[in-house]
Amino acid sequence: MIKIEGMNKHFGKLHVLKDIDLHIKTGEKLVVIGPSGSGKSTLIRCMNFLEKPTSGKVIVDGVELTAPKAPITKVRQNVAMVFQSFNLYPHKTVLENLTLAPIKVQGVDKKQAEESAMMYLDRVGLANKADAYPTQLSGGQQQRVAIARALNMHPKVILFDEPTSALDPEMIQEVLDVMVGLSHDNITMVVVTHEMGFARQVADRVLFMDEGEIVEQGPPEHFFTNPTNDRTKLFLSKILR
Amino acid sequence: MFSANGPFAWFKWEALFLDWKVFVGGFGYTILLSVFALVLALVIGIIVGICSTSQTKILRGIMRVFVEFFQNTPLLVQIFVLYNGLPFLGIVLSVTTIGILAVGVYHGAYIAEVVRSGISSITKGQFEAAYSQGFTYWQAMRYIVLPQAKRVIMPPLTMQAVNLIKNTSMIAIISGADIIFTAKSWSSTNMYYAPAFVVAGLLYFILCFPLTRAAKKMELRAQEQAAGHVREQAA
Ligand SMILES: Nc1ncnc2c1ncn2[C@@H]1O[C@H](COP(=O)(O)OP(=O)(O)O)[C@@H](O)[C@H]1O
Ligand SMILES: [Mg+2]
Repeated sequence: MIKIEGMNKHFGKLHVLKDIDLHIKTGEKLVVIGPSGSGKSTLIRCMNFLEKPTSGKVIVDGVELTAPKAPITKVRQNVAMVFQSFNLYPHKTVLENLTLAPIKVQGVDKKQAEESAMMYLDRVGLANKADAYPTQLSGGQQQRVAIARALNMHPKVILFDEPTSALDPEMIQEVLDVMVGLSHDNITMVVVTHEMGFARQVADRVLFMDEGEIVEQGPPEHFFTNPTNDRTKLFLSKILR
Repeated sequence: MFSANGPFAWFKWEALFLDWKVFVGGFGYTILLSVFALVLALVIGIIVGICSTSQTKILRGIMRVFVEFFQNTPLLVQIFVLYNGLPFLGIVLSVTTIGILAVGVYHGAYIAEVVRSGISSITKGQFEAAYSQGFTYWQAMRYIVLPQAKRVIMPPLTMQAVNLIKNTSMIAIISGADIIFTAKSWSSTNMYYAPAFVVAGLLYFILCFPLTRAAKKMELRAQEQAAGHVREQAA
């Protein structure tokens, strides 16, 4: 589904991603961990081209995004993203947040978009908030709406960039529950998170990044039982306290 | 002051009210000038304002030069240049057209700044969410950024409209038949300056005061909305 080959990303002089090679299979659940500033966000933002790699190839669903004149907006309709800070549209109701892009970008019929929106809102347990505005919701509820908004694009991939990091502790679980529910679908998920319980439950593969490199990867059990790299051990000892 | 030979003597007011039609004419002309200049200013302001937030450096640069030029030279000079300069180029415009052009472009530059800062006040996350859903830059502007920016933009924009109305008075310099020119020419024949300019001021006040009030109200509402959001988020 996603193929990254020899990818580098620089911000000015800062070399943020170094020679990244990464293949993500259709339906795979990949969890990315690593210290702050290690390039996790930049890596997943390259997957929907919110960041443009300096060199290398990014191929998503058979389309090379790094090719000149690549149909970026077309690909993005299949690659949804859930942000740390939710980024719901504050001037739109919850329902409108879910239907805006399907109607305006994908050309879906309004009634159809609303029907599927209600289904997804129900799925994240917020059907009763359809007419509310985002600011009237708690952080956890906003993030669940953001996930429903992503789903209503019927994407093949969902990218999550630390979806629970901005939440009060008591709201984290409700969002994780929704994400665990999603993982039973065939959808491809790439999740930047430090929630190791979630990783253990859901991930097919965990990837540890540090200083712009993929340092170590493997099934979640590997990270709990015998991480090999010293940097990985140090990092895990901090977050698994 | 109001005595028989004071500047505000009663008979002077009488003379003025007898000639009320002259003043209504000036009032109408000022309104006409204001409306057309405002439409032009809005068109310029919105286009230049949006282009000033573009990712294209050259476009941003050009817009910057435009805004700085018109903000940093007096409107009066711009009017004179159009009035005295254009005929040299073989372009002869009516005084009214010059007024609309000069005032419209001048305030267009100010409105561009209002629009630009309104758009910049919308967080980057809104663009990113829109892009991640496959919106193009212009779609993101239209459906997501501009509707939000509108709330921020409306109060200062309304104050710009007030300034624009007052600045149409500059047209009197090249004999446009507006309120000020009317007051001046009417009183220059009979020397009844004082009541003429009081009335002139009053006519501007009638136009501008409701707008200023509306701007205050919109600003208050925007503040309340912002405070409400904070309250709700804390709750
Ligand atoms: N837009 C940007 N401009 C400049 N530097 C950036 C930008 N975005 C990220 N960086 C830098 O790139 C590095 C990696 O950032 P990021 O991918 O956000 O890390 P992480 O998500 O792992 O915390 C950091 O040093 C950060 O300061
Ligand atoms: Mg990050």
